[in-house]
This record gives sequence, C-alpha cells and structure tokens, in this order.
Amino acid sequence: MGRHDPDKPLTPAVYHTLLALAEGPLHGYAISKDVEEATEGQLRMGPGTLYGTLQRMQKAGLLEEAPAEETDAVHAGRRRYYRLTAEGREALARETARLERAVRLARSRAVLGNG
Amino acid sequence: MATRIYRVLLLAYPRAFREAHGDDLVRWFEDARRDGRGSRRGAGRELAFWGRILTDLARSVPREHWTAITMTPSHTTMGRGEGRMKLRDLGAEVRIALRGYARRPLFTLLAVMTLGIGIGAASTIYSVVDSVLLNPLPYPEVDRVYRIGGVSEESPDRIYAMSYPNFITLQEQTTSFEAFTASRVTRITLLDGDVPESHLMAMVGDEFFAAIGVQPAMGRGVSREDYDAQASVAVLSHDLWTVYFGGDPDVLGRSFTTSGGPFTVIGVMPEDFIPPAGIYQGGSSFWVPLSLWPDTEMMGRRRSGWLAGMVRLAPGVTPEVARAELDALSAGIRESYPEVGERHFGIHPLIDHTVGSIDETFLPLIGAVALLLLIACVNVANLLLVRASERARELGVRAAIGAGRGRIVRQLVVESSVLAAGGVLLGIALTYLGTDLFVALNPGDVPRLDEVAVQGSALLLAGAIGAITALVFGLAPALLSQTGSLNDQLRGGSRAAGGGRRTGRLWGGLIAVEAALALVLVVGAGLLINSFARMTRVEPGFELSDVYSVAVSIPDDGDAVSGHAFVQEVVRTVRDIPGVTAASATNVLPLSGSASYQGPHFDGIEYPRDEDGSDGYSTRYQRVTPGYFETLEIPVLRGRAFDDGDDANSPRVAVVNEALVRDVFGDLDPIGATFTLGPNGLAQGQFSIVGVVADARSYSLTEAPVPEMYFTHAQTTSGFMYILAESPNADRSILEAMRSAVAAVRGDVPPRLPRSLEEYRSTSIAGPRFYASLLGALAAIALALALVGVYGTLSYVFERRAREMGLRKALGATRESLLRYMLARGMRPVLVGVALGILIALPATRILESFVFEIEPTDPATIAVTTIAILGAALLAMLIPARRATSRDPMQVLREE
Repeated sequence: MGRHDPDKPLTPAVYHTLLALAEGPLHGYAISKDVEEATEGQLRMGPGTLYGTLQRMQKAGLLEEAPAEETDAVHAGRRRYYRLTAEGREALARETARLERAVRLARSRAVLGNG
Repeated sequence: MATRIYRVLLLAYPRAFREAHGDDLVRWFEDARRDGRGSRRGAGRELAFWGRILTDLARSVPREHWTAITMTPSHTTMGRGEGRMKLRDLGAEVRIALRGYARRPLFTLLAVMTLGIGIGAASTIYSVVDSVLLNPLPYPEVDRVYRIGGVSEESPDRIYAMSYPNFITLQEQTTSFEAFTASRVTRITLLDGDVPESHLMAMVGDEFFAAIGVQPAMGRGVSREDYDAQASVAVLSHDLWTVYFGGDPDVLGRSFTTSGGPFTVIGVMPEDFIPPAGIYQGGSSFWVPLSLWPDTEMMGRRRSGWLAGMVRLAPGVTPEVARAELDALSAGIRESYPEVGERHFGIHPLIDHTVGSIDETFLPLIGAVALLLLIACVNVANLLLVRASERARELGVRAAIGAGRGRIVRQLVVESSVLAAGGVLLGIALTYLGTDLFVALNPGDVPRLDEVAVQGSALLLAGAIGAITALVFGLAPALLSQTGSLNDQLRGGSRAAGGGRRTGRLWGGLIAVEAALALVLVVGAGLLINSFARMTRVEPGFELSDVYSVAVSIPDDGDAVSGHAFVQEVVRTVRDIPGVTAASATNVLPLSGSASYQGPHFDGIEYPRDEDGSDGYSTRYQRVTPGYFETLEIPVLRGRAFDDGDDANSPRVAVVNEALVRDVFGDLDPIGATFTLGPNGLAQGQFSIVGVVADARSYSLTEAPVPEMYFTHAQTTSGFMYILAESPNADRSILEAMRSAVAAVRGDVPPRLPRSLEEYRSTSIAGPRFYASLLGALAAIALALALVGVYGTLSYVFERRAREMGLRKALGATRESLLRYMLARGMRPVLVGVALGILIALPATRILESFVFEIEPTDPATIAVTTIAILGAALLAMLIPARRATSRDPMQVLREE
C-alpha cells in the first residue's frame, strides 16, 4: 500500500479501524477491542496485524498520531493515540456509501430475504 | 515472564517495525492479558491467548518483512515512490549477484556443491524410500488385500501356508471377504518351442483375480466353472504372451503343451501387472486353476500347509472384524479336526509381506542422509556467514551512500536465492544420477527396487530445501550485520567482525556441530565397513572357488529309482568333462539362504527337544550324492562319506556335522547311532549315522553353523537338484559344457541357473557390501564437507587474528608457540563436537543392530579409530590457515591497519 487509492475497496481490517476511530482518538488496544466488539468477534486483530495495519494506514495518509493533549486518558504519555485524517474520514464515508449501495442492490434482488 | 517471552518473539519482526512499534505491541499484549484476567482463568484460556498471539505472529511477521523489503521506510534517505520492487531492479540484482560469485569462484563452487550434494543425497534416498516403502502396491484398493493363513503368537510377523481342506472350509464359512483365494507356484516346462523352457506356473483359486483386483486385459480370468470342472485353462502373463506366443492377437483359444499336459489360453494379463512378489518370489508366467493340482493325497491332508492364502476384505469390513470371525472359525476347525493341532488363522496386510523388514533396511540410510543434509546446511551457513562478515564493510558503505535497509536485505536474499538455485539444480541432477546408481547397485534384498523412479515429490523436497536455505541464510547475514553499528563497520570491518566474542562463539558452535554430526555418520559407516571386512574373512568351512553349478528339475517318471538314475547319469557325464576334478549334486546350494528341516527321533539316548515336545528335535538337512564333501572340500572327521553302495536297497544312512554331534551326542560316539524321521518325514525306516563332517556355513556366511544332517539322494530322492562340478582354472565355458552334459542325458530337461558358486557367495554378501559402501560414501562426503567447513571458517577467523599474532611476534613470541596456540584454539570446538558426537552415536548406532556382524553397534575400537581419524583430519584442515596466519611479517600486518 502506497498512497491510498480512492477507487479501491478497503479491506475489512482497514474499514473497521477507520470506523473505530470515527468517534475520536483511540490507542491501539482500544481500537482492536472496539473492532472486535463491533464485528461481534468476527474480526479479531492481534497486535502484529493491528500495528502493521496502522502503520500502513498512516503511511497511506488515512490516519495520524494524535497529540497527547487531545486525549484524556491517564496513560496518555506512554501510549500512542491515533485519529482520522480528513482523507481517512473521506475514505470511510466513501466506503460506507459503497457498502450501502451494495446492500441496496442486494435488497432489491431479494438476496437478504426480508427486503 | 509472559511479557518477556513476547519481547523475545518480537525479534522475528524487521528491525524498523520493531523500533517503531515494539513498545506498542508489548503494551497491547499487557492490556489484553490484564483484560482477560478478570474473567475465567486457567490453562485453557492461557492456551487460547497464546494461540491468538502466535497466529498473529505467523500472519504478520512475513507481511512486515515483505513490506520492509519492498517498501523503503519513509525515514531512510531514499525518496518516496522508489520503494516498489521493480522487475528491472531484480534483473540487475541477479546480475550483481552473479558477478559477485564469479569474483569468488572457490567460495561459490564450495557453497553450490555443498548444497547440491546435500540436496541430491536427500532426494535420492527419499525417491527410493518413497517408491519402495511409501507407494502402495499397484493394485486397486490394496489396503483391503490381506494374506491369510496360520498365525502364531511366537512369530507375529509370519503367516503360514494353509492346507487345501482348510482353505475350502474357510472359503465357504467366512463372510468378511469379498474374495478368498489360495495359490501355489510350481515350476513347469513349456514344450512347444525349439528348446524346452522352464517357467513358473501359479495354480490359483477361482477368486484370485477378484482378490488381487486386476482382471486380464484380454479374455477372462479363471471362473468358478473352470475351477469346478478342472478345466485345463490358462491366463498368460503379458511377457509370456509377447515372447512365447509372439504377441499373437488370436491367442485366446490356442492351446500349448507343457510337462504338466496341454492348456488352453483364456486370457492375457495387462502389461503392467506385477504378481505380488512376497508370495511368488519372482514372476509367474501363467495362472491355472488350483483344482488341477495332481497330488490328490496332498490335497486331502488337512494338516500340512502348502498354499499361500490371499483375501480381499468386503467393503466396510475392518480387519478386526475379519480377525474375530477367523478366531471363531479356527476354534471350530480345531474342534472338528483335532489333527490340525493348535492351528489358528489370521490375516496380515499384503503390503507388509512385500516390503518385509524394509523399515529396518532404510532407517540407517535415512538417518545418514538427514545427517549429511544437516552438515551441508551448517556448512553453507558457515560459508555465508564468513562471507557476510567479509562484506560487512561493503554493506556499510552501501548503507552510507543511501541504500535503504530493505534494499540491502533484498540484495542479500537475491544473492542467496541465486546460490540456492544453483544448489537445487545440481541437487536435482545428482538425484537422477543417484537414483540410477542405486538401482544399478541393487543389493538384491530390496524388494520392488526395479520400480524405483525419481519421484516428483522428491524434486519438490529438493526445491523446498533450497528455498528455505535461500531465505534463512540470506537473512542471516542481514541480522548479523545488525550486531555492529554502521560506524564500526566503516571504521574497520575486519577488526570489528572477526574478534567479537559473540561471533566467535557462533563459529565455534557451528564447527562443533559439524564435527559432532560427521562423527556420528563416520562411526556408523565404520561399523558397517568393519562388519563387512569381518564377513569377507569368515571361513565358511568349504571351498567354493572353482566350483560351478547348474540346476535341473528331475523328470517325474513316477518312480524314485529312475529319478536318481537320471541324477547319477548326469553327475557321471559331468565328471567326464575334461578338466573337471570332482562332480556331485545337492538339493541345497551353500550360502543360498534356503534350508529344509526334519525332525529326527534318535534311538536310545537323551537329547535336547523342542520345548513343546511334539516334534522333538528339529535339524536342517540336505540331500547329496556321493562326492559332495569332496567337491566342496568339507573334511570327513569320523566314519565315512556316502558311496555308490548306499542305494535304494541298502540300509538307510546319514552323515551329520560336528554341531549336531555336540548338540545331541556330546561325548558319545555318534557312528552307528540310529534314528527315524516320523510319519511325515522325508523317508521311512531306520537311518544309521555312518560319518561326521566338519561344520560348514551352508545357510549364510553370517550365521554360525547349526546342527545339520546329510542324506544320500539315492535313498531320499528330490524333485530338484543342483549339479556341481569342480574344475580348477576353468572359465564360464565349463557351464556350457555342463548344460550340454545334461541335454545329452535327457533332452527334455532344461538346465537352469548356470553359475559359479563364487557368484552365489558374492550375492550373499551383496547386501552388506552395498550398505557398507553406500554409508561409507555418504560418510566420506559428510566428512569432506565438515572439513571444508572447518577449513573455511578457521581461515577466516585466523586471518582476523593475524594482527594480534603480528603483535605477539613483535613482542617476542616464536612462530611455533603461536601455531600451537592457534591450533589449540581451533581444536577446542572440534573436541567439544567430537565428545558430543560420541554421546549421540552411542544410542544412535543401535539402529545398526541387525547390520553389524561379530561386533557390537557400540564397538569401542571403531569409535576410537573414527574419533582419532576425525581429530587428525580436522587438525590438518586447520594447519594450513594457521600456518598462513602466523607466517605473516609483523610489520606488514601492523602497517595494514
């Protein structure tokens, strides 16, 4: 992954990470817990996978480290917090819209049954 | 504690990633552990947690390395956008690698050859083992095919032949089997050609083709109707059809004449059909109904087993179910027919009977090859590490002028991949060569060796070894180069890299490992070579040189006297051949590895009996003609040998060997003692012992002489005899003369197996010779590789200390004292390795138990000689670099700084 390519769908790990950060800066462990809860345990990221993803997302410009003062946590000094960039927000919105379109399409074709 | 373990595991990540996120990862780890603690605890949860951590590592480590290699980390001096791997770059890197290797031809040659030899040896042995052992027999669903017959608790590996009535009873009463057949292979002469031809004929039950699961390619198999009607029908092997019948497409319905009467062809087997070797010992030429067996009395006897049984389990029936059924039926048979005695029936997988003790045969080879491969890998690692240290400076310069770390690692991986590719190519070539060689050297006791071919999976194995080597040893130098800072490397690569305690320990360890592995292998080879040498020195008790033999089937004219007259006439004709000094006949060839047994009951003395007491004493026997002991120069110690006066009408006589006298008579005089052979014996009536001969190893060179009896053929005729002729200074033309002599007596008896007894002797030691030379060759290669490793490594290590040596010299040390000092340093890891090797070898050589002869697998002499040889060789290997390092002029060394 170099710069983020807006035309490409996001991987589940990336999408859910963006989603987790949508409400405000989080540190790594909080992100993985949030993702795990949000996906009802379907997506579990271990530390290596998580920080690998974060590093690549950061390089792609989707998120950045949050300055310590922005967080109210006790361990703020020790922990690395991440927040979305404008680009990240945009990517999240774009991906959500894409998923929405996909869900609408599926509903119209009665794939989900209760459309 | 857990955190500390995790920190160690993190070393698997690329350094850049670790530096950027190591603390984050550890914090995540601690958070997750603390979180989990509140809920349920215990080993299960702990296990699940670590499972998750390890899965995560397995998933993300390769990914981060890939990222590190393909992407230039943003904090290096390289600009953005240059990170992606370009094919053009790859081509350039391969060229750089090749150029680098071309500049170091010796290093390249050694590394590629080391790798190639290791890979070649491993995949050759893998091919052989895979073909012989792992590939099932070429029958459909062969796992359902079993041998059936008598079993006993004492020898669970054996399955005994069945009698015809038991075969019929079991065939009728069992329900576990889809097909149940029995067969007997017999020799028969085909009479239609210009010369009579001797062939093997298998007489089979009607379900034979169903049991084996292969039907004739042309025509049909033996049917129930053929069987019940005793129809003289035959199914031909593909060979017999093409050779004897000229591949006649209209062969079905043709009849042919044999010494057992005419047969009509009803089918031809497929070309690739191989009869199960464990049952038939060689190829049968055609199959006919067993119901044609001529000896009706033999067919009626329930007690004597002569048929090889084979079954195919019905679908869904497990062997346990079949065994349970046989248990019940065995009990029924014992009850209804008490004469069968303790007979019990069982089944064994067919595959076990065709490969036999093969595990034991191949275990040492597999072990040897694994050791060789390990040595090769350690060696390549050594060579690459040495080279990496030499290049530390170069790499440092490249980093300083802007090459990213990923870029350097990538170059190293490309370089080692090129090297590994060379090794793999050489290894594959050697695999083809080695497999052919293995087949050509067939020791004779490896079944199905002619089916061996290089297996695709073996080549895959070679590729896998190559790939792993490329990756591991490509990355190793990169990791090693982390130990010193860039600055160090630039300041003085030579000094920084060689003298470090840590790298010193690493080299010492590698040398020790090589010495240990080589010692184990060389000790193993030494044991086999020692055993083989002892085997060739064994006094067999007879003189085989200048003795030649041909085998004849004795024509069955319905009476024993004419059978013996035929043999007598043949022996007489052979004796008249010019140059022949002695002639005789026997039914068992010396060293042939086959034997027959009788149970004599001696009159009037106490002697040891078999434990069950039923059959009394059992002893080997042989049927010979007068002149046998003379032909083989077996000394007659007491009494007399047989003579022409011992005929069918005179009192029955026997000659015994010393071992039997020791066993049965002790100090008593055996001459004149009498015995009988029992109701099922070779011959009826009372025998008296007329002579005692010296012990001879008639069975094999490695087996100590056992009690043995000789009968004269005139009184105990056999259906099959080997005619022997002693003719000093003769060549193989004597065999032709012997064949003509047989033909002159009877034209319809084809003489077979014309050989010198020396050929039999060399066949009997072919196995030990094969294993000794193969293991010897593997050990020699391993030792050579290990010495290359010692030489290469110490050349480098000593060179690094040349400055120190120069200083010491300048301070007044003599060259001799320096040399001693260097050698002592160099020998230390070798000594450690040798000690370690002995510790490994002591238990490891036990797998050679059945291969050694007259010595223990832990033979101290062999181990001592081997150890000294390895120490000596290692000393020589390090003498050259040590001399070179200490002979430098101190001033020059100091000036180089």
